[in-house]
Amino acid sequence: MNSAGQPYRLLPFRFRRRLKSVLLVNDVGEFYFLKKQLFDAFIAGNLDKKTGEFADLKANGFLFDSHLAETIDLLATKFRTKKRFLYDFTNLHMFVLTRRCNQECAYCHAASVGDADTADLDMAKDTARKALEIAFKTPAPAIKIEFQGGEPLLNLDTLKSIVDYAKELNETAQKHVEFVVCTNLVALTENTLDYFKENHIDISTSLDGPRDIHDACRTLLHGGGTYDIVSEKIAWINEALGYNRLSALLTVTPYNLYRLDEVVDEYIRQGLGSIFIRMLNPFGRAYLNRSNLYYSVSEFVENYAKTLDYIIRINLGGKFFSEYFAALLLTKILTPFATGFVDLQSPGGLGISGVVYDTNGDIYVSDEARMLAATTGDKAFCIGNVHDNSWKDAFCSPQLRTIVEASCIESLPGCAWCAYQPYCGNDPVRNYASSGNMRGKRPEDESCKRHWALFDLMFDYLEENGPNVQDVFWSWLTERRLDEVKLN
Amino acid sequence: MTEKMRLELPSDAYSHEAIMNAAYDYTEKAVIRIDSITAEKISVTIKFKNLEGFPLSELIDQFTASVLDHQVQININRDTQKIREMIIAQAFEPCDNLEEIVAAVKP
Repeated sequence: MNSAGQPYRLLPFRFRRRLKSVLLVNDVGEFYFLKKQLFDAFIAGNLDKKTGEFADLKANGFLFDSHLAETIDLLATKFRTKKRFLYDFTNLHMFVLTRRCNQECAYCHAASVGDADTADLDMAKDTARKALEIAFKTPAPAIKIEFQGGEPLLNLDTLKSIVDYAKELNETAQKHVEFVVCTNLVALTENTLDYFKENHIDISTSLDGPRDIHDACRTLLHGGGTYDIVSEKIAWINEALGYNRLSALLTVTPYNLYRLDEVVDEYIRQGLGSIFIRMLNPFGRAYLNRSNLYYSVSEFVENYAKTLDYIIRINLGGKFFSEYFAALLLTKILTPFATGFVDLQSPGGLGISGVVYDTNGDIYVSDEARMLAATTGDKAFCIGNVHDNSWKDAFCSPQLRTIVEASCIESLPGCAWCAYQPYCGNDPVRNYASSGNMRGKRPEDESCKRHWALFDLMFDYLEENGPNVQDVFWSWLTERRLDEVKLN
Repeated sequence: MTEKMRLELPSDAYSHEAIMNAAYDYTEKAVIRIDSITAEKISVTIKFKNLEGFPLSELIDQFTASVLDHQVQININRDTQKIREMIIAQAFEPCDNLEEIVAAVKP
């Protein structure tokens, strides 16, 4: 009994009322569906200790009746694990090798320009060296170097110089270094593919669906679709590097929004093992073409839900294929681990998880920050330049602290009391771009609405607790086949 | 069509903070003005931007339920605040004498 005469006391949590239950979520992301009729008794300290609900709530960190110190220690360990990304300070370093591109995608948010041979559109080798020296100053023991553009293969010389210099720096730094190139594959040659294979460079590309969908938005600079080229190169890569060394991203547009099942079929046909169904980013050409590219959050969520169900059925039919964002949300809900997905963490990943080095050496806290500057000239989220500033100048600056502070959802109205807070995040750049305010306004924020709806969807699946669906989810989280995960 | 209604909530059951938090959540749907706060009651005027086919009374009930849920959350936060702070402190600055600290802090 505590001093109030109650048999137990509450631990910190937030709640959300659902149709059949009240969802409880504590600060370390443990959750519980409590029957509606028991909620009032629970919060009043009157839940019967002999019930299964009491035992579950105690085991999951929602109440205690003894051993408070041990309970705090356990929850602290889980909390530290959730925030593990803080210890890997800036592990993703993105290099914009060029602003030139050989495509002219309708939704390009990277402010890419034509393929004119103009030196000031490319990252010079000395800029790349200085950026790399800053990247290796990061405390993170493992770093990922990502090559972006425009189309990064149009500046292959600088790409290779970065790989070589990274190896040289790492003889002293002794970090775990990975490379990935984000390319549309048009300029990929067999020699370049061999180079990627020899230097263990992973490849990320875009595939929007079958031919008519893909070619609707992803066109060559001087006209014509890119589906045939991309399909050929995907086949090359699968043969040369093996499956799962290539990842493909989907950008949802009105052209594929109502045909996502066909997109999934296309991904499977092309030998890809997962899909990332992501909503369009409102930057760059996507913003300029918004009248043709717009769709609502509710339309996106409705079609996402249908497609997720389709993907689950594919898995239940014996084929492993995952949806990246669902797997991400489930990792956050079902495991204590951080995911590294910078948009869904608090503090947000701007600068502290990932950073972008622009062609001229400007350092931005995220891709969106760079795009904001490229399209509007607003450099509010530029924290320095590799030619003028040190690592400390950029990463220990009051400016970065202000940006990171604005991303801490624990103190933002709306987020502070949201049940999904342990799983979610906030993007000050997107808020600033849409409202002029880094903190944004949750009730009007489309990202918030989308995340809320998708979390609701995942908890619908979890509350229903269909055993086969749970097995599919765990096969995604553990990246094992369904038959290896199923208990029966 | 927009409609508004004046709502009076007893101060001993609903805090100013709960009403503010609920009002924030309803920003997109309604304009909410806190008219007066006394020891007995808090008076609020709510003007919904779009009734969306619902009777005003039903929307008012939803808002009132939201205020109540916010009050419940505020009460939980108040009762568990010290424990929350100890969890975060232990997460990033762990100490071996946690039992002594818990006994001293009496959360």
